[in-house]
Amino acid sequence: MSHDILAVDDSASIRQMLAFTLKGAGFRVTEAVDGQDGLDKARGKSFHLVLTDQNMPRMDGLSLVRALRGQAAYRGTPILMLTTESSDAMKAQGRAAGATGWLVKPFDPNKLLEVVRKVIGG
Amino acid sequence: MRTQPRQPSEASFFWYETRFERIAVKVLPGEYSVGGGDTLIATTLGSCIAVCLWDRELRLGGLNHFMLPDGDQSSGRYGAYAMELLLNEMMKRGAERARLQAKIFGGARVIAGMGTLNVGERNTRFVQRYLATEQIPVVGEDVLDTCPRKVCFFPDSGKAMVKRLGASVETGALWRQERAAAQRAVSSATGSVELF
Repeated sequence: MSHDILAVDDSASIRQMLAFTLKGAGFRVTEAVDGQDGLDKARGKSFHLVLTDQNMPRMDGLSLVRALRGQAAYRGTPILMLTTESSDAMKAQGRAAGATGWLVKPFDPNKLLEVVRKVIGG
Repeated sequence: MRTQPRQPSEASFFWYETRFERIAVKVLPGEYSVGGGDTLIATTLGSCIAVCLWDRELRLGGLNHFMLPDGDQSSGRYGAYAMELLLNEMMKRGAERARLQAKIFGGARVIAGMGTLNVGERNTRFVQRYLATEQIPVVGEDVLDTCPRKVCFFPDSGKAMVKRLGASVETGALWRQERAAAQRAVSSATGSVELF
């Protein structure tokens, strides 16, 4: 079974790299350009995993996590943060918001796929 | 600018630049700096690239200095990471992507016989492609060729001055220094994973 992943990042370059990596491994990928766009796309469709950046215009990653966790459909969905932020304080905020995990950029494609498969259970 | 708390990879070497009668901060390979006052941001480049980003409305500017790691597939990811550090710091201080413009410098072939490796050209092509993908307009550039450059960027006006350093600079030493520092930055920036 192929899984649907929502990839949220304001950088077109990063979105391209994520899509290339994930589609190459057989996942279906929907891209969103910031947290608000991610939230809008999540409302219209059910995803097996959300992968989001933190620093984005309009709505940041932590706000997106909180908004998604407030919806019944996304209470149990894995949400991974993929960001340049690496401080313990930020990670603690991520955990408190309900994120499933914290990945620090730059990402290694194999490591990313390993984590994605682990949290999706596929 | 000097008294603000610093992020990892944020430049921290300050001095008084008598020529411009301003405080200046030196950006080393793997580092970046963002400012909006009259502090000058300076760097010296061989094969590395420096990107100056400027938000014309806020009169806020930033400069980074990076080199892609040697020819493997992680190059693009590291380059995008180096750019994102600068972009994120600009955005944290209120900059908006739609208002940003860029100037790019460096990418020289600084050692005779290094043409086959195309280090400077590879760095230059990466940043040109990256900025095009991100739809950030390039309003000025001085790239490629064979000479090292000193770049002085004035974040309050967006003006950048470039001095081509010519043969008086020990280019081999500069390149080795850039490469070692850039590789250190890459290895220390390797992504970590934490599942809650």
